[in-house]
Amino acid sequence: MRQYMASLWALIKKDLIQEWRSKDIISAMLAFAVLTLFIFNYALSLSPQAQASIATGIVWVLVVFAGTLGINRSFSAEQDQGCFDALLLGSPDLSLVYLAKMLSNFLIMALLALFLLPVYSLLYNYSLFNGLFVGLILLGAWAYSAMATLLAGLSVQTRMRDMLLPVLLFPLLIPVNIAVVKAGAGILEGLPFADISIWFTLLAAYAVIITTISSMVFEYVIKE
Amino acid sequence: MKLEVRGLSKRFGKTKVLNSAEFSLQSGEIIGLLGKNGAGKTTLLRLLAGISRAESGDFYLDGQPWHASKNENRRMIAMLAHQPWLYENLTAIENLRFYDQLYHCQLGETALRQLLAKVGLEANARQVVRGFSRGMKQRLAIARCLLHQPKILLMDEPFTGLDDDGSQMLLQVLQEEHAKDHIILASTHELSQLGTIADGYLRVEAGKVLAASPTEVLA
Repeated sequence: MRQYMASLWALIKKDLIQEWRSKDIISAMLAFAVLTLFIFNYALSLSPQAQASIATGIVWVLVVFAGTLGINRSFSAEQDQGCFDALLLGSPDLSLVYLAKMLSNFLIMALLALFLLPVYSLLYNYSLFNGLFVGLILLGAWAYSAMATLLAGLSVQTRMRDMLLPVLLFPLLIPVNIAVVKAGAGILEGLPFADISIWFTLLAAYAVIITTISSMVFEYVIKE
Repeated sequence: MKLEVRGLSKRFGKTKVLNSAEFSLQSGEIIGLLGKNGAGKTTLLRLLAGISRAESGDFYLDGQPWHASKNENRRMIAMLAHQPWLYENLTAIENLRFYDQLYHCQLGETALRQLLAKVGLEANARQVVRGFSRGMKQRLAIARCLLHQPKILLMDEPFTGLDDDGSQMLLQVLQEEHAKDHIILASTHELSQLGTIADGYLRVEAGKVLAASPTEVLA
C-alpha cells in the first residue's frame, strides 16, 4: 500500500510540476473561463432572484467547458513523447495511471473553480462563498474528472481527439450537470439540505462508480 | 534464462505483421533484430515488452508460461523505443527520479547522478529535457532503461541520434549488460555499430522471425 501511494504521488507530482512549468492547460482554461464570464456579465442583467437560479448554471458551464479544454490536453505529454508506453511498462498497477491523472485533472479543475467563484462574485455582485456550494462544485469536479479522464485516455489515441472527447463526454455527463445545477440552485435559494441531498447522493454515487470502473478498465482503454 | 516465443501473431487491420512467429532468446546474448522497413521489428519488440496485445502466441521463460504484461514481469523489461519516453518539462534528473519512484528502485541522488554520468549527461542534470538535442534525449533514454536493472533489454534502433562518443558509450553499456547475463535484443539497420558486439541475429521477414548467422548478415 505504501508503494502504491508512493507511485501515485510520483505520478501526480510529475503532472503538477509539468503543468507548473508549461502552464499549457491552466492558461487555456483560465483565459476561456474569464473571457466567457465577462461576456455573460455584459449579456445578462440578472435580478437577485434570477441570480440564485442561474449562477450555478453559469459557473458550471464554465467549469465543464474550460475543463474539457484542459483535460483534452492532459495526456498530450504522454502521447507526444510516447510516455504512455513507459507507464504501461513501468507502472506497478495501471489503475494508478488513471487515478493519478484523474486527481491531477481534479486539482486543476478545483483550482479553476475556486478562482472563478470570487471573480463571479465581483462581477455580478452576488456572493457564491457558501461552504456547501463550494463543496458541491468540488464534488461535481470530481465526478466530471472521473469520466473525462477515462474518455481523454481513449480519445487521445485517435486522430480526432479534439472533437471526440466532447462528443463522447457531454452525453455521459448529463446526470452530473443536472445534479450540480439543481443542487446549486437549491443552495443559493436557501432550501434546507434535506431537500437537495438527493442530488449530492447522485453526484457522490456517480463519482465513486465511475472512478472505480474506470480504474479497472483503463488498461484496456489505453493498450493497443 | 531463456525466453521462448511460440505462435506469435499480430495484425493491424487486414495486414498481418507477424504470422505464428517462433524464436527464442538466451541470456548473455546480444541479438540484432533485422528486417526491412515495415517488416514488424518494432511491433515484435512492443509485443515482447507487453505494451501491445498479440492476436495469439505464448511466451515461456525457462520453460514456464510467462506474460510480459503481468505486474511482476513488466519490471524485468526495459525498452528503448523510437520516442524517448521522457517528460519534456522535467529536468534530466527529475525524469530519472520519476522513473525511480515509479519502479520503487529507491536509488539515491548519488546513484541517479552516476547514471547520468554514465551516459555523459552529468553536466545537464538540472536542464529541462525540452532543450535537449535528439542525441541527448537518446542518452537520457538509455539511462532510463538501465535505472531498474532490467533482465530483458529491448532496443529499437538504439544508435539513432547518437554521435561517435554516444555510440561508444552505448556499446560499452551493452557489453556491461551482456556481462550480467541479460537478454538483449536490438533492432537495427546499421550493422557497423551493433555488428561489432552482436552474438547473433534474427530477421523479421514475411511475418516470420528467422535466425540469421553473423557471417551471412555481415557478408
